[in-house]
Amino acid sequence: MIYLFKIASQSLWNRKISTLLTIFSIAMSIMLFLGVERVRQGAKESFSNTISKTDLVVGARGSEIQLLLYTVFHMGNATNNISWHTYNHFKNNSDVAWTIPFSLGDSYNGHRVIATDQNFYLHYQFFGNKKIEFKEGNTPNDIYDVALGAEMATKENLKLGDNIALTHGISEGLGILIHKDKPFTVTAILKETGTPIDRAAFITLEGMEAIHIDWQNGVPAINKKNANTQKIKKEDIKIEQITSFLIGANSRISSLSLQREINNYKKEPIMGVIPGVALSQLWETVSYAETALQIVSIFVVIIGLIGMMVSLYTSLESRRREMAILRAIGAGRIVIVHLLVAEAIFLSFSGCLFGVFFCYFFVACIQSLLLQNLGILISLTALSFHEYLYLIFVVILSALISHIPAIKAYRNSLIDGLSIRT
Amino acid sequence: MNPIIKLKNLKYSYKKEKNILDISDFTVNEGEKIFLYGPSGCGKTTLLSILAGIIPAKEGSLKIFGTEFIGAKNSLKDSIRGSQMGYIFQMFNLIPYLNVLDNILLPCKLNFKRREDMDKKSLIIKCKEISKALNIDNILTKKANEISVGQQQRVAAARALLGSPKLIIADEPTSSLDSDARELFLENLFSQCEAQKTTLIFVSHDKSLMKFFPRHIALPDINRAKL
Ligand SMILES: Nc1ncnc2c1ncn2[C@@H]1O[C@H](COP(=O)(O)OP(=O)(O)O)[C@@H](O)[C@H]1O
Ligand SMILES: [Mg+2]
Repeated sequence: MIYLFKIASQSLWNRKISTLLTIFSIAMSIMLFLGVERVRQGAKESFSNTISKTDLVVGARGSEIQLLLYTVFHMGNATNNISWHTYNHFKNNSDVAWTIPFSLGDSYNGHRVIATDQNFYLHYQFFGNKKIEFKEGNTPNDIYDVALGAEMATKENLKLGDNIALTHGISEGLGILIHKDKPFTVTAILKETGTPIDRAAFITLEGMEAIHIDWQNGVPAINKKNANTQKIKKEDIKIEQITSFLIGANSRISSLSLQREINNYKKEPIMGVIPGVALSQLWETVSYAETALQIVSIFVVIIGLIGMMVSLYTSLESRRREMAILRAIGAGRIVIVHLLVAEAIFLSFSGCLFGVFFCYFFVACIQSLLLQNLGILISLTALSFHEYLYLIFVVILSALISHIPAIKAYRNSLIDGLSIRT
Repeated sequence: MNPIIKLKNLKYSYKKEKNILDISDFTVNEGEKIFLYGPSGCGKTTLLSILAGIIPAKEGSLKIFGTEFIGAKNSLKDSIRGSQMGYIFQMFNLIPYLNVLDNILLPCKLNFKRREDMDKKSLIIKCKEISKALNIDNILTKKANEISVGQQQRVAAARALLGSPKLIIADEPTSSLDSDARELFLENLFSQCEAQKTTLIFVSHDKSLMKFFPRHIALPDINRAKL
């Protein structure tokens, strides 16, 4: 059998171009397969690491996934706000270590504007125990201070000291209602986090209230001039509502009783969600796409193998002579079949090898691109046990389907006998 | 005399309708050199394919080295062919992607029985000996498609001879050679066969070579099938 592998490799080398093309096509399909797996893992990892060390996400009662989406992923809108009073009620609970309030609803050129307080910069954690850091400037403190996420600052070409006017509501580009009268000054730019924070802007809760002073029912007061808005003092502003808040509990166990307390809170319909639980629920809803992608990549691998089989099959016509010679010197069915199976194993094995290599190369190339644009961190981890199994399975499958051309080769040799065909 | 081939009432047809071969009796003894001739299309190659056990005849009896080939398992026939026979084609005898040496060694590598008790070293020594006798020892490292037709035929002869097979079957091995090369080839082949006491069945339609052979058989004379 070892000798057959040697013959097989020389036979393949004799058909260099077709061999290389076949190996290349298998390698590409393996690369896609492994690449999809890597992106999937990276996406899942980044996704579940968007928030960490947080015990509860609290917001208006409704869909848990929706709460997680608008609070953590800055997607979609809250159905209802919660009162400042309720927030303070739980903030002062003895089981609560820290809280981070969020007030949402405005935007800038499609970037979410999130109002929060100092706690966000002190306590928010992601990717395990990473905290928010400043690339430039300091924590926004004044009413019209804004801190920009790294990606937003680059995209919008903003730097410290620039003034921006926020848009009421969330819309791409310029909204209809722009808070022109109350421009914000960029006082900080955050370091890259690889989370949705990079694409958002952060102001103070007082800032959020200030720009909506005089508003009634979600529209600006028409008659009043806003002459004195710039002179509003932070101390004068009373915060009425927030959208949601995060809780860090003193212990894991107390977080469960806290959750019960929140869900049974009588004065307002609110709920508390354990981020890990909601994250995996959310991931399940997108896992259809994940499965679909995996199935597609499996089919691509199968098509790669079928391509290999076709290339072996078509090579047989020009190899009838070779087969007749092999038969004449005593090669039986087993030798002929094994020769072609050996060729197939050789092709698929090299294909897998190059596929793994291409995959690493490809991942290394797009790593920073994905991190910057999608916030997905793909790590160059070694192949998992399962992936090794898949690759072995690919080689076995190639050996199996190569029996089709192999048996055809033997049949040809029976028809030809020892007569000369060229 | 020890019969190498004993053939009785053998019938063969590619398609069911019409027999191509129908031979009542044909025997070849050990050490014989037989010149088999007949017009093109009379069934010479077909007969050789049956003798080599590559295509199966269903009717009659065919004993090769005492083993009944009719109805025998393919693997048995393959193994006997691989270990005890050498075959030389009219042309394109060599595997194009192997070099000359590997081509010569191929039957011995594929069939353990053919190597007899030779280890790798003595196999190569033996191979060099035969190559020298056939005057191809200077091209052993060349690729099969880089040598002349005459050299290719001698390489094929060396391959057929290595491992001392009992029987060598040559199907018009000289028809692609010019007349000088033909006689030289035949001389070389004869001396090697005699050295190894190998039986030779040599097919040709070139009757000028007849005189070198002690026994001649015209296939149409022994074949009752009318083509
Ligand atoms: N594989 C085949 N299938 C069907 N008929 C064949 C095949 N090979 C040879 N024949 C036919 O068998 C006859 C004998 O062919 P062959 O043995 O090659 O003759 P020769 O070698 O004497 O020239 C011819 O009529 C030929 O057409
Ligand atoms: Mg012929």
